[in-house]
Amino acid sequence: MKKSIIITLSIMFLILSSLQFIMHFDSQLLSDSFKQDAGASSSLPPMILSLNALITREKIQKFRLEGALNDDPLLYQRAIEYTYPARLDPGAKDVFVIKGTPLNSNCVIINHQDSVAHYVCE
Amino acid sequence: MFANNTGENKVLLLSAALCLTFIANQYLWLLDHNDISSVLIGVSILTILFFVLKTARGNSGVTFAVLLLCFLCVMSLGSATDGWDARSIWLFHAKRIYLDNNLLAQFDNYAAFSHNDYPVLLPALSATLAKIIGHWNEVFPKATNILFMAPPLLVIGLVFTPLRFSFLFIAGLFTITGSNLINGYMDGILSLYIVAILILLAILFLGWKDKLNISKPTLTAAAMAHLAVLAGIKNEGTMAALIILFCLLLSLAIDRIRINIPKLLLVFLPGFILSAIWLLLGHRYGITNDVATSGSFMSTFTARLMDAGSLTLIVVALYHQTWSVFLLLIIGLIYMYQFNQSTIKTVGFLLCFGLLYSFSLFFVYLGTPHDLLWHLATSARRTTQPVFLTFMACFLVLFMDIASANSTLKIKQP
Repeated sequence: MKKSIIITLSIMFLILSSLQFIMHFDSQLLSDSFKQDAGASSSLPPMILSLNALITREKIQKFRLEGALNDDPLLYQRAIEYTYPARLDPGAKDVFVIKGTPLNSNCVIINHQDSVAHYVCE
Repeated sequence: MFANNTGENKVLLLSAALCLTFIANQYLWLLDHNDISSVLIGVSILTILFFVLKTARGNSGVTFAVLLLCFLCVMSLGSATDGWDARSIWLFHAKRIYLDNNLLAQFDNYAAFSHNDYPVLLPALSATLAKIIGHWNEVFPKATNILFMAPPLLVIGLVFTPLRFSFLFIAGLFTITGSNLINGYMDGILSLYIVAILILLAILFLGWKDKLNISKPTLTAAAMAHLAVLAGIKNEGTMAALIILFCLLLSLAIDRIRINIPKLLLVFLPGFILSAIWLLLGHRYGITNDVATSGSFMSTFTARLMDAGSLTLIVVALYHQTWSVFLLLIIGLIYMYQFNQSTIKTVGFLLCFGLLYSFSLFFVYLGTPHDLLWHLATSARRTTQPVFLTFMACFLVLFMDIASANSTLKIKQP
């Protein structure tokens, strides 16, 4: 097989196969890539960002999730990962839910951010 | 001593040095990691990369590998980390090492869904680089995985010459592994290491590419270092290393080549020891693998073995993929052309590995405690990437022989 044909074909294959990376490329993410907390908004559901904002603002170490935040595997796992070093603890008093989720009468709302609410349950 | 080496020797020594730096980084975390250790690892990596750049000036394959790494790094830094494995396993483990300042942080088994038994060679480097930067974010720790691709890519650039064959290999790599190279998953990296090791062992033990100006001690060091990293990437790495050893012994026995046991031990033992250390540490903390321990592996295995529906599902998921075409192409080329002995030995070795690795996956899926449909749907395309990349490399080994101008190949006469 002629050398020039192999070279042309290999370069064409290489360029075509590289296109998949370029399609997912976000130049804004690249320019922010070494800043603190960069990439969170493009990688995580908005509810998890709100949850983390509440946990960070109130310096909570242990928390509990209820309702959809606890039942949806994606939200549950993302919540655990992103809020670390805060830890999920079934006995924690600080409870986070999506606004409108029914809770026991001994729970008092403390704060909220967007759709996520923070309760303390005694 | 380094300056007196040939270009090829230098490249392989540098790739081995990078591998050993990655391993040293993991064990520095065990010895009360601090800022000095992070700087030490950072400086070592930069020094090695500086020498790689110096070597690249006289070697087009190495230049290509360096450019490719830059491209992949930019693409990785410019893409979101939203894949499940990337976030829930690798980035989370790295974050825990970084925040807890403890390599074994995951052994408290918090968030058991994140597979706390998995090795942390790559997360440990992400944590080190986060220490150097001074903070954590959701993008750059994933891009440190690109550094791990440097050693095998240097091997590929060195061996698949002239450059057009490296182009073909990388095009195949991009197509088979896809975004798994840059999105924080390990399967693309695992596939690359497997192929690089198979190639290094074929040169070292089977006499393939004997015209390359590489000394045996350098090849031995490079193979050993790559294998040590392979065993630390993820659990499949140790399984792959065992299959590689079996295929190599089989190839040597079939070709009646004397088995050099000390050399084999030197190449394989460090990787197995590092893997055993991690397993023992996990065992000490009571951390187990989900596939091996949740449910009864053997009873599930036997039940599915008797069930035609399950068998069909696994066969379809593993083998009914576009890339199976490489196997047909390989058979076609072997049937049509005559090849020299070392090429045939290498092809046999690579094919043996590809097939046995796919059979091992078949057995793992037979015994998985998870729902079979779910497990296959979420992982089969990724776990088979090493198989198809090996077949693609095997095809390229044959194609290089055919296309080589100096080849003495002849089309078989009927």
